[in-house]
Amino acid sequence: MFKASIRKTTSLLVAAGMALGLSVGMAQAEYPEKPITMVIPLGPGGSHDLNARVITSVIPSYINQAMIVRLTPGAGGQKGTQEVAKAPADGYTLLFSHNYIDMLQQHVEKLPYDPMKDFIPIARINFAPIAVVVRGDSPYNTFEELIAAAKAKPGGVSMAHSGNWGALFVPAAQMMKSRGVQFNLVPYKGGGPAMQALLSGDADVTMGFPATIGSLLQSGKLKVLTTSGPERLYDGVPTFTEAGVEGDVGFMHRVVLVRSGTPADVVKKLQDAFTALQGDKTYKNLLKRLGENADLMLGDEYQKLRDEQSVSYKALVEAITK
Amino acid sequence: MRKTIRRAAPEVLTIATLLVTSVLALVFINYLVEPPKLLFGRSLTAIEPSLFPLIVLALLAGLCAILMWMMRTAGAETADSVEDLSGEEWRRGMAFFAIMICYALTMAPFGFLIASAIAMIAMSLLMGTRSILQIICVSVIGPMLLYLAATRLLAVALPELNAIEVFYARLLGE
Amino acid sequence: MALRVDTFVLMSLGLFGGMLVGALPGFTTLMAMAILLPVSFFLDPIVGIPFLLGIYKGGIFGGSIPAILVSMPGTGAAVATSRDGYKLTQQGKSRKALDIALFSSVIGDTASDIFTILMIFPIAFLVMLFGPPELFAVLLMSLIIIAATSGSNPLKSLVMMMLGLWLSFVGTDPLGGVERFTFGLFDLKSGIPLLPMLIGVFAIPELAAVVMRNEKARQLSALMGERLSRLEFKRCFKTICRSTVLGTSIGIVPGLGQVVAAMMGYSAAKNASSHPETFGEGELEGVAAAEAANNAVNGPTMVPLLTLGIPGDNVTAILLGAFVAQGLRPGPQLFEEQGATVFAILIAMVFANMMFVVIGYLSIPFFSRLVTIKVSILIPVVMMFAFAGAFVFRSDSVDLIMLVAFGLFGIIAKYARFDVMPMVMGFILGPPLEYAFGQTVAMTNGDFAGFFLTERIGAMLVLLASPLIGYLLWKRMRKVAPG
Repeated sequence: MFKASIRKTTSLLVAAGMALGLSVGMAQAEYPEKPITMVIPLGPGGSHDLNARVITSVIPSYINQAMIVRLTPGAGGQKGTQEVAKAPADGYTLLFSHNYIDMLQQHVEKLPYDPMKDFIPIARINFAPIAVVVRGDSPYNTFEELIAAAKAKPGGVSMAHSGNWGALFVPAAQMMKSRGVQFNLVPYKGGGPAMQALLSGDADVTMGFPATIGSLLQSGKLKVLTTSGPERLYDGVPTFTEAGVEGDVGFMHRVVLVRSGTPADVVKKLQDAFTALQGDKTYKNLLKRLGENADLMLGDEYQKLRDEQSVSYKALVEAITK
Repeated sequence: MRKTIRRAAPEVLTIATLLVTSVLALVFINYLVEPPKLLFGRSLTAIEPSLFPLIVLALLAGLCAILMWMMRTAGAETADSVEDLSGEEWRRGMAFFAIMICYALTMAPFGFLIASAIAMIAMSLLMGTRSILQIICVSVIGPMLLYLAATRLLAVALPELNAIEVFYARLLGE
Repeated sequence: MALRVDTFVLMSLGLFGGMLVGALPGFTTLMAMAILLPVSFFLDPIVGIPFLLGIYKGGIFGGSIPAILVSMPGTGAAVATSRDGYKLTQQGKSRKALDIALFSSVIGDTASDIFTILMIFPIAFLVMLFGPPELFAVLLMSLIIIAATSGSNPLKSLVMMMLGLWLSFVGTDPLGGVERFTFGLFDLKSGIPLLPMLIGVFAIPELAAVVMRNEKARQLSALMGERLSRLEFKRCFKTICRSTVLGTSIGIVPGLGQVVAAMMGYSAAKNASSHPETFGEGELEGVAAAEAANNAVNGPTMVPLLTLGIPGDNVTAILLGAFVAQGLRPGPQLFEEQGATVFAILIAMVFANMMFVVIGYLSIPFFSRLVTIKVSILIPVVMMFAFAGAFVFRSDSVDLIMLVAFGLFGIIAKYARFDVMPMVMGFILGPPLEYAFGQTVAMTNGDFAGFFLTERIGAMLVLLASPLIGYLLWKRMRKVAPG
């Protein structure tokens, strides 16, 4: 009796195996024939997670497959990045990262992968500039006053940032290097707590994305001293360039990457899908509601930016970590 | 007397192990914790990375030493607590852990469905199931449903073989 | 603005869905909220945001379901619940345990929501008084209280807590990013994951016990037990009130959160009880204390989000996304410009709790029926959920090895009569403790004593008082429970 049922089971399994084999045989169809995984090397609920949810809720209608988000936080983004570096180069595993994890970390730490050799960018999804802010009742009214105060008393001005070599730390480091000053850098667990520290008076200065600080600015709780990039974002507020802070440091570029060696037609398909998103009303609408722009930049163009980032970040890291 | 010592053994052994490892970690702390990184010639962080580990390890070693000493003088306080395991129970426990270790090791290479099916069939047999139908239902349908729920409804990934993923995609007509 | 029918329909959907997702360990409510966030964009503000809040509230209760039924806490906040909850299940009282968990969650949450609505501006002011020094002081005090009240032998609890702290150091240092105790292994660089530890030390030993004893003949109908009686609820009411006050206060301190609240609520209830020895052995008050406290945190954590537009954690970050997407920009002007909508949303929160009593009460019989499934089916399925849950937490198969290793450790600890709870608490609270201390030292800029004496007297007092509080609690526990 027991034997008979084993035989029955085996034949069932064989049948199932054949069915599987059959479907694989037929599956020489074109990419993508199964859901695509998008690895985020950061934790849940952050801005990357939210941006990714917008992408994955719209993109299936352009690639005819689901896109699944896989959050793999750990070791400052290295864990998720390494996972994609180890995955097969078939375009089914994407990495949704940002420029500091992508290009800066290699100069700070020994990584188990080589970001330049192991990855190629598909597209930059969007970017966010950053603004240096102080409390509304702060004694510093301009960036120069802040620098003068920091020069007068090295370490006397405390700057709240969101973690070492993160989106607020790098611009701060570049400021310290370019202007030859010393801030007292106090880490916080993310931009929100850093902003709270500024408002409660624990810190003298911090930074924030314009998309998130609008309400605090309007109510006069904050003053903007300078913003990143070459173009002015606020009337009468100088840019990093004008303030003598050079390099591509004040921007958070959210970028989708794949393993290098991914077939060209697969890359093309993905790029087409992301380009198509640009014309999608829902997508643009959703991003706008999150307070993000939809300034897409395709892989080749972003690769140039990547090359520049690598060089300037290397110079920055070497200059200050002595 | 002999009996109490034998029965207190797991407790004493655990404390002794913790004592030895914490002392070793204290001695080799410089090899186990990297020195702080520098920024503008100063330490990147306000406190040494080894400060908290040093405090905690010292406390751990001290507490273990006190506990060892107390147990020597006060005798075994938990003498009556540990029930002896029968040979049968030992074997079942070993089998359970063997199955779990196999499951842990096979999930990545074999994929979720196959690894789960193997482990669950083994577990079902260990729990005394003899109905083939029940085993198939639980160990094949169960992981399939969980996989589909996780990937399609909750949009989180579980490891799976390419062929099986394609099979699922066809099954759902995607 | 009147509340609408569709608000309630979607909120119930959110509550029910959140409860189901929360009941799967590893699949957090956070994931469910992040996935459904885009859906809320297309809904009206007073529909979409209550929908997300529903998922959140449902999810917190959902987390206590596996904690009670199979000793599998999916979050740190459910650890205290699982301690007495699972004992109650073993005694055939799983329905009572789930009932009291539901009622205490809802009471804790409702009371803290109403308090928050009434006191939103004073709370906003209070929040600003707490910085890293205060956080460090309160975290240290919490650890001392947990060690003093957890076991019969505080020395053993302390040993386990130190072990937990040590384990929390493995990986990359949270402040400076240097490697500690990794032995150069990349897999250890991102540290030891929480979920495999929770499932490993709490669920695997219980599974192993069932497997080893080969329990087949469990009495099926007896396991569900009866529903909670009015008398039992009355007995727990004082505990619920105490935990609600504690949880709400803890919610005001940014960065503390549900784990601390649940543990403090539990410790306080045990300490105030005339029979502390029943805690940990299947005490309804234990479940009530933990659940009321961890839900009472929710109200005040919304305050920095609403008044300043600053999210304190990931859940509020998602809510911020939802608010912004609706054209409600949280911040100082929110109440002037959109006051009516905001209060409608806050009141919807209170209604969500009311509805959850009904939804939860009707669902509990189905959940508690789970434990009456044949053991030969239940055990393999629970094992699968344990492994899948441990995996999805970080998508790493190394975590599965850690799950088994922690399972083995849990069994050893059980036989050596060590309580694993202080270890888990040390593990969870270690990183924020070290982080807050590092921040504090950075803030002092060298002048440690001067900083505390002039600027942070409150934090200093808490620090100085903690050892004394710990000692007094320990003495009281010894007096009440001799031996």
